[in-house]
Amino acid sequence: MISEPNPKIVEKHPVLSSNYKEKISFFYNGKKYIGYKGMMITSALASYGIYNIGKNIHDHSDQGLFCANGMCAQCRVIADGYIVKGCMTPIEEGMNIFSLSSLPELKKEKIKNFPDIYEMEVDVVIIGGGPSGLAAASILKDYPDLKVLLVDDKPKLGGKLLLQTHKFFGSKEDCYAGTRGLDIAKILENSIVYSNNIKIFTDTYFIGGFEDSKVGLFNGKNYYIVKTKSAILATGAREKYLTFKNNHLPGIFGAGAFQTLLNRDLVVGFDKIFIVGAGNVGLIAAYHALQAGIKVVGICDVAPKQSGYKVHLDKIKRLGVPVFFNHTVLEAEGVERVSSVKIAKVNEDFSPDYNTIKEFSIDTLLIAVGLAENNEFEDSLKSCGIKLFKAGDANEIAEASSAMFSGKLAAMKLLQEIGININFPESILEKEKILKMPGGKVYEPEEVSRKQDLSGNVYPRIFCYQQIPCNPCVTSCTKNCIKIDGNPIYDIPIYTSGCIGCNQCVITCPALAITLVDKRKRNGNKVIVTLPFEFLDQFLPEKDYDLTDFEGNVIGKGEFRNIKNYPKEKRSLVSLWVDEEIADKVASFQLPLQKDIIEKKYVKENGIISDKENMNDNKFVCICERVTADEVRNIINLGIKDINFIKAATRLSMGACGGKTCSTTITSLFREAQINRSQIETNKPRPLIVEVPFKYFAGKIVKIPFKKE
Amino acid sequence: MLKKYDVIVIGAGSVGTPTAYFLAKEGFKVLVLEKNKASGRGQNRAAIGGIRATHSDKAKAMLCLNSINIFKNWYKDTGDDINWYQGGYFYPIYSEKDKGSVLSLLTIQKSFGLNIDFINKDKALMVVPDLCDEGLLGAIYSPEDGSASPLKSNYSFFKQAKLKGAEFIFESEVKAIIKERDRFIGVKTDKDDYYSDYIVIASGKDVELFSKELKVQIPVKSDLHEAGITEPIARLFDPMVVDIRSYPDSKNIYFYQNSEGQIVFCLTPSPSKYYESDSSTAEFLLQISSRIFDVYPYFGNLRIRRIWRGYYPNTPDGNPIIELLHSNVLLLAGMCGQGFMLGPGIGKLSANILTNKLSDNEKNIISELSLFRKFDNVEFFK
Repeated sequence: MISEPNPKIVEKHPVLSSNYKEKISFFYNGKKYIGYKGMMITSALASYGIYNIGKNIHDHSDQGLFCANGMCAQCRVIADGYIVKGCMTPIEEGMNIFSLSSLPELKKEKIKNFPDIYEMEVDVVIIGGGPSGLAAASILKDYPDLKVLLVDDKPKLGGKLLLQTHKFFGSKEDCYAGTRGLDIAKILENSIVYSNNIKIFTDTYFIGGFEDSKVGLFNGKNYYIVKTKSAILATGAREKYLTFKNNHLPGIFGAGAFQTLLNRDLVVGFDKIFIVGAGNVGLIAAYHALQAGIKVVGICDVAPKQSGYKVHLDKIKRLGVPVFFNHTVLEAEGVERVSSVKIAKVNEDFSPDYNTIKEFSIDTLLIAVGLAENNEFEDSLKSCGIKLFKAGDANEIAEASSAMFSGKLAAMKLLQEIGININFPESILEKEKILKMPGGKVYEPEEVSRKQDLSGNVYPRIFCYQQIPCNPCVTSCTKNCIKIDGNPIYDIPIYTSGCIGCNQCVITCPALAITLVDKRKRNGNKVIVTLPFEFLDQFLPEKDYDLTDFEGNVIGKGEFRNIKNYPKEKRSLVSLWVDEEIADKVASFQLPLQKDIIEKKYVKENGIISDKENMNDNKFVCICERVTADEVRNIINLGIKDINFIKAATRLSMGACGGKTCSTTITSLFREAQINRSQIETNKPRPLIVEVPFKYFAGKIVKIPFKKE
Repeated sequence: MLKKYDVIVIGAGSVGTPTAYFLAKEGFKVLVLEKNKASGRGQNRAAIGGIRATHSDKAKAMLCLNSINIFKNWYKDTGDDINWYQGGYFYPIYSEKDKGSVLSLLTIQKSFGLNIDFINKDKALMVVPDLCDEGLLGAIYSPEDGSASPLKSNYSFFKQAKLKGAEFIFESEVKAIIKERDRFIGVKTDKDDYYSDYIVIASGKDVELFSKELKVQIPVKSDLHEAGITEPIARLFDPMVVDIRSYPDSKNIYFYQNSEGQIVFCLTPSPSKYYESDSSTAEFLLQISSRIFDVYPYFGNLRIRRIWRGYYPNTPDGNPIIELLHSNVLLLAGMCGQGFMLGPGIGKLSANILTNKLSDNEKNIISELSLFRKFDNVEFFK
């Protein structure tokens, strides 16, 4: 299982750079490994290709991490005798880690001095320090009398922004469009970190709400009971899980987990991935994989078209990623780690057509079938007497750009509610609405092209055909010659005339959907086309460039002219000699990395999968307790519409994750039984949101003032 | 069309569901009306799962002995695993005063035929190794008591009752009892009217309506208790451990390790709390942790997974009420937080009441638990 004598991490990357300094050693199941200080246990193991980190205590099958975000608890291991979540616990020098394969022994210690319990009073608790929580704090910081406590369960503020290596959409003046997510996190953090009325607790879990307007917080060292008048729930979202055969195999995890491993922890323990779901999360994950030199053997989605932005889809198709719409995932296979995936076309009723099975050899399968709001504690917080405001994904799933707006809005609503008269511009509501819009109308390329001025000697080609909230091309143009036709940040950009060939739009466009056609120099019938490139130079083709149109169809060959790096933008411009007649159509070239993807075809007669087999298998709805879809179906068929009853009967959602994974899969089973959402009694969450040892509740109570250190 | 049944059971909880099962098993056409969306969604969901026959009241002890027999044989009888675990009950004794009271009670309990005894310190430490031994005098131990999952049990009673033909209607709240001349002939819900020969009231803490409808006083007052559960760990000990010492903010605590390996714990607050609330208190985690180490010093690293809150529908003497009113309304009320352990025994007894097959013993139980008793013989381990 050990693939490398040293951990495999990203050494060179077009966008990311390593902060790892100190190498330390640790032991896993008795064997010595090397990791970097600050690395989480699961990441340290993943950098050795170890994804199978234990056995489920119910069925003893292999299990691995799923969320890498402290939620799913699939990654529990024993570290120096303590049961911990591997994805939230950093390795330490000499740490002795063991995988869990049966009920763990309790580490018996007689504790002499219990840690103190802190009591504190504040005006506002912001739960979550991602884009919406930070944005909310940035509004509240201007009210110095307001005591604000911002808590986040991770060591660094920024939430999922820290995983976003790509340039953001939206508008430049409102939400840092054109800037990369991880840089936005730094900007937001700097805007609040020096404010005296904003106290920040990182590495701190929100445990639950209690009677008399109290919330419990735990930072791994002490327990806090904080009395608060109001709270902003900025807890983001979690990834939905999917039921298919063998969906529990190690190596199958959320696209967000993949981004955490790769973009935050710089782990490259994957070579070939397949992605289920063509929303923005899946599409962006594919791009991030390619940037790190990981082959994306395919993406499938049960829908007939992408639910994410078309520019994200086109971008990865151009680089050579096969995309299968109207396809569902049938099953995964593998021993100890996933090694193949089978997909099939779906019929009109979404049932699979077993004559269209395709199998791919993979080592990682990403689930990117959408997000669910992390807001189940809304009601219980309210019933504790806390005024509650929701922001960002916890309120409504949308892009991070709109989450920042929604955070500001939530803070303003809170201020109004507590009687502070604030200026609440109507335009904010309007902009928030626009920013959270999904991709809108898709125009015919010809229709858009007709409006573009392609008559000059040098001009941008804009391959942007869908309404999305994005305008950095307009704001970057030094000659103001790109305009948006219609709504200023939502509609399609049109180039009129006046281009001087400065390449600013090519450098800036977050979707890499703009090229520059330059006919001022010629080489026979060839002209220059300049393309944006966000990969290491080593990923360039050796000789022939297979040119693609905007959707990835190969339309000819190009000849390398030069490459220019823009280190500040972390982007390069590749300029090629291209036949003039196709120059206007060239949008990209295929990555050599994506060549030679092998697709095996099966038909049902081969006996690979039969309907019967498909029905009675281990498709898990709840991975913690290993509850299958059929077990749940049997209860729904008894006329039960109460998820709490299903929980009682099967232990679904009683595992370590607290129902964070199965809450989405179970709704699909109700849908299957034609019971709609409004009829279902949903899971009633109770504290504690994460497990906390007894010893942290037994100390003496110390009242602490709200004062920033 | 007139909706006519032999028996209507009001409430699909800890008592109503097994009662429906035993009635259907006797061949009655049973309808169960439940205001929640499923069975077991009242206080059954809050029960922690302890099952003991070692009460100080004979009637209750007898009912629970029957329950234990039913729980013990349930898997064999139905094939449903309800996580029955015969780990016993265990009361460590740390003061001469407590020792005195439990020993005097022991004689009475033994006279009921219960397997319960005082064991010395050494034996106590064999039953629960690692128990806090400072000042330990010994323990009261009843090895035949045990535990089961209240949630799985309720699901199984529900499923088996349905298999025997009982009909369940959820989201259907009883608003009145229909009276014709002197007889109660059915019930009115927020949706429909239903008629039956017998009515069984198993509505848990919600008895106010029936007090009014039946024109009798039902002395039930519910107080709040809090409970919690930890992550699963390898087995530490078998019995339910009950610490009967009184602390300034709590009367007693008890905890056991269920068959999943999780420690389930509960605390009786002092003074009692009578308001309506579903939210947990911030104090509970602190109270339970501050005293659990005084009984079992090694829980420091054990992680608490979930906490919740529930009601104990109490009677003045801590014993339940079983009363047949007007010869066809069977009142099963005031389970005092023990509905789960009493449920199957009461269910079986109810079937015998309606089929007129009562033994002398059972007749005694009913007379002791009458609604019209004086309620002055207070249960010791209330």
